Amino acid sequence: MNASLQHVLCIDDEEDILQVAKLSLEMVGGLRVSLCHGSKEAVEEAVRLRPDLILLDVMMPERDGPATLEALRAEPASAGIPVVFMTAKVQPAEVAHYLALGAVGVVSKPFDPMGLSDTLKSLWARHVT
Amino acid sequence: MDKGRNLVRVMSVVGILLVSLVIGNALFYRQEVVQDSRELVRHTHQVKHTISEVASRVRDLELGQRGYLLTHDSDFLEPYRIAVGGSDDTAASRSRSLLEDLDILDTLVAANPRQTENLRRLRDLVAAKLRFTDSTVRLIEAKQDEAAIRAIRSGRGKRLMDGIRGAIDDMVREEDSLLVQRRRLEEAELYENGLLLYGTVSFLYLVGLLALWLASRNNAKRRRAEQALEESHQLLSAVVNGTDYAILAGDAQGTLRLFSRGAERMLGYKAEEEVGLPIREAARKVMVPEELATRARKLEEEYGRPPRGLEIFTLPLQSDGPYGQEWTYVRKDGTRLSVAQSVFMLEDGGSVAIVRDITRIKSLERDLLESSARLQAVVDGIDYAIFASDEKGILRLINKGTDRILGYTVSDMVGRPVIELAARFADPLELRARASRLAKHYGRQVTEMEIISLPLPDDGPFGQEWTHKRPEGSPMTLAFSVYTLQDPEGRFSGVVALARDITQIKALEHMKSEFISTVSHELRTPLTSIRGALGLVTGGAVGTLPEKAAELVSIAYRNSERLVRIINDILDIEKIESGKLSMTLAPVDAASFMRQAVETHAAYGEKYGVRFVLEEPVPDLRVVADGDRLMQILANLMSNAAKFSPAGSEVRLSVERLPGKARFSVRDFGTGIPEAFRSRVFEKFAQAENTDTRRFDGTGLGLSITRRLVEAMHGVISFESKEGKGTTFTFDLPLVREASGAPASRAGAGRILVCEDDRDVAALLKIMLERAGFAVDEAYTLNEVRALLSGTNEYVALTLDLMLPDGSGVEFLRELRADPRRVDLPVVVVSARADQGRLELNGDVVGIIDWMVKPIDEGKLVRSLRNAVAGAPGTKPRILHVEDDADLSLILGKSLRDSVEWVGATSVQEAEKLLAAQRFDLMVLDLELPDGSGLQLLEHLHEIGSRPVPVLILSASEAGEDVRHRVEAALVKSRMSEERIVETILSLIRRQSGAGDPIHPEKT
Repeated sequence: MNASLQHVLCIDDEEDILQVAKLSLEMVGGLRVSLCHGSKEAVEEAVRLRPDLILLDVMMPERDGPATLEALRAEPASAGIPVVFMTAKVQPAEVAHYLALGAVGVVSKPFDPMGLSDTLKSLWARHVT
Repeated sequence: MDKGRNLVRVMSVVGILLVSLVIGNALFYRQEVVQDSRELVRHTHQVKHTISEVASRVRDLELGQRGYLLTHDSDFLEPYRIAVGGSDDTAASRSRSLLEDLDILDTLVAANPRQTENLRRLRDLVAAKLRFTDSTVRLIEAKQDEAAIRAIRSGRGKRLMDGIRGAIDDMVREEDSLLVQRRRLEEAELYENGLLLYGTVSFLYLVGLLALWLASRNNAKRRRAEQALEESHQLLSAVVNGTDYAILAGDAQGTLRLFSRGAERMLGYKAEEEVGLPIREAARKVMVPEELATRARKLEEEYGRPPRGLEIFTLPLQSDGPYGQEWTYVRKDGTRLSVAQSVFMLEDGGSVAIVRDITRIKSLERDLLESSARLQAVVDGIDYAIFASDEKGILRLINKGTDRILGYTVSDMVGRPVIELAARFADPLELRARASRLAKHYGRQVTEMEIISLPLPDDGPFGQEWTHKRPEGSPMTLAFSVYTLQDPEGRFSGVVALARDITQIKALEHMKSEFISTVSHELRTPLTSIRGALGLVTGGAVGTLPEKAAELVSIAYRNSERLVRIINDILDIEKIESGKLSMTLAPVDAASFMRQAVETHAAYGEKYGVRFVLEEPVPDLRVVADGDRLMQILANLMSNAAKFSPAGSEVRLSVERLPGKARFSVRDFGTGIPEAFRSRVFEKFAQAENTDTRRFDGTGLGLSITRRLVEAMHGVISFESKEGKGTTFTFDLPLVREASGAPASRAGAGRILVCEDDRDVAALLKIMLERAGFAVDEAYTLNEVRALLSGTNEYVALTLDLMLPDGSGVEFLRELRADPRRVDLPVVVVSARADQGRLELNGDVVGIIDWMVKPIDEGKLVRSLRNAVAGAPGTKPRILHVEDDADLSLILGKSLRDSVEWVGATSVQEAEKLLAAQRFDLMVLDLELPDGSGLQLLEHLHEIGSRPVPVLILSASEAGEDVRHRVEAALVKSRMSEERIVETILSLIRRQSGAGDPIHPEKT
């Protein structure tokens, strides 16, 4: 595995948020960002793109974040990719809950665009070690 | 009684009559006897008289004979002629002849043989005399005087005369003796009569005396009776005339005889005008004819016949009120009054009427009825269930609203115990659960009444909330407000309960919170884009903007951030208000927490040029709080303080110990809170009018949230402020109750039943809980739980999954709370759908000490359970004393028996067995044991049991340095008093029970 975070797959049903996240991660963090609109093609895209990290929205129609995570885990090819949840629900209990589900971190919405890439990088680093 | 007396009277009268009759008869008879005797005496006298007559005639005869002899004058012969009855001379014919006399005498003495004999002799002698006389007369007439003188001289005449005299004498004697006899007899009879008369007179006299005595006695009695009558009459008169009741009485003839003063006062008529009038007439004067007619008609309806005479007044009607018959009277002056009238008939046919003026009572009654009707209309019309009970818990009022709310009629339950009605409102389980919570809160059993009347701190903003099942089965939430009533002396006199249907409100509330939650989340999505995009621009990620544009974008960015904070705060408020805020209260060390707070917020302070300073020394205190929320509180207060402090100033934080609580203060030296704003400081969206741009930093919700958080931790928040001088916010939180003498919670854990169908999770829970010192049993189905619970009372708590193969955990919780033995059993719900379960129960079931979603937070779980079972029975710390000196073990065990569970072991082997099988909180170890050294035990202590037990060495010999650092303490028996040993044990136990962390071996 690479020593630093390179490629992030962002999964969200909100186009604008995807764009802001992409800009933020690319422009501030210099990361490669792939976008996936909604959870439908999430596993497919993850398997195809093999990102270093997945930034996964929690509240999505059809399949929500935790369910998507489960699906990702069920697919061997994507099972090992660390996932960071992005959620508007930021109660401590919820954060603990997502972590318990196996996420490496939780980013609260609205996120700080200037700090998002740093957050992901440090979560990645902690995950790798 | 009277009958007997009458009988005696009659008998005595009859007796007296009989006696009088007998005496009368006797007297009559005696009178006849005396009469007879008198007759006899008279007869004797008559005989004697006749005898003397005879004697006189014989004498006359003799004398005449002699005269004739001497004179020859025939006139001398007259007596002779008379005697023989031969004379035709008138004079002679007028008198009886001697012979006739003798004949009379003959008849008179015929009954007496002696006299008859005497008379015969007399008669013979008289006859002889007459013959002799005749012979002499004839001799004379024949002028043979000589012969005549011779004859006379012969003495024959004289002999005859003597004989006659003798016979007469005999007869007289005889009669005399008879007379004497008869006189005696008569006297005797008279005497007897006298006696009888005397007796009779005496008797009558006695009867008279008796009668007199009786009469006099009756007189005394009568006098006394008259006196008493007089007195009672006076008394009665005083009563009759003194009372304000009008008292009227009539005689049997229907004439008014009494018209009391009260009647005069009441009616205005004078007794003089009324007494003597026929009752009917008097009644007509004061009574209203229509009323009389109405009553007569009613009586006829009820009794089936028209009332006769005074029956209109004496017969009761069913419609008669509490005062009896009520009538309207008309006074003399025409004014009217309401009266209660009672009429009684007397035995003699007279009647008495007692009349009471109830005009005032009736008017009060009317007022009362009117006002109560008004009140009743209000009470019934209102959409609240209102009911009231007296001090005994008996329902005295139930309004119609109660029927409407419940959906069926209960307003007929007045007179029943209030708890019965309460049970119609609430699930019996709810009532029981409330009783149990009240008992816990007030530290005593509560009465049925108190279930309703006593408040609980967790009663919601609407009061007590109860769930009522409508007749068709849908649940309804009722909010109860209960007011206790006090009488003027301040004694409890009942309760008034108001209940309203807040189902709609609850539904709306739910909708509101759902809405807020949804809106907030929905707002965040576009905000995420806005803030992200603006952030990137202001952060320079897309290059430098012209100054004006940069300023505008920065305004937009700052406000997007503020919007985020507002949304977060709104969500917090919503959570608190809807009761969804979960607090995990645990001991928090004040000093370390405050240091952390200062450290965490230092950067924020710097932004405002403010320095946070913690006033040292911080007392060693531990409060009961939720750490995360406590930090939120401090963050709010500190950021507020920083915002309103002048740059370069300090914000001082301090902690101080108060009885039972700790006081936290955050003090700034800023502008202070304007006087006008102080009352609204804790209100939502309240911000002092301030042109300072820094106000945009706030959301207006921070202090409102802060206060709610403090209150949720059973604390109190307040502030003091001086404009221009600064503001101090203080909040008090309860201290952790330190066990005094007796160690609590941690050291003695107890047995917990884990109910979880996933065996892996169950095993995990078991490991977690055993590590915390609990004994654990597992159950995989509800039926197993029921079986295990019914078998023992040993469990101090239960962890429960809500989704179990054989039923719903929610239902089971309700079932559990219905069991009086289990109503208080602490339950921790451990479930993936804990939140949903909580919503489902909606505070329905008490005693759930915590809710935990999976995955499980071990620390939280253990903390919750430890808090829950603290003080529960069977949770004393367990001490294993390994000692071969049984006496010492006994002595120490006795001294500590109130605080600990003391288990003795006399050998290494025994101790090993016990340690492997049971949990102990402390081992007191002797080094010299019969089967080896205590050191052996110490060596492989970590291999035995689930966790190493802290050790106190209590030995005769001093432990070496290498041993001492492996144990909590080492004491030498001979150097230590028993008290000191006990103290050391207790302090070790306390030390363990205090800290939530595992025990770290400490050196002595």
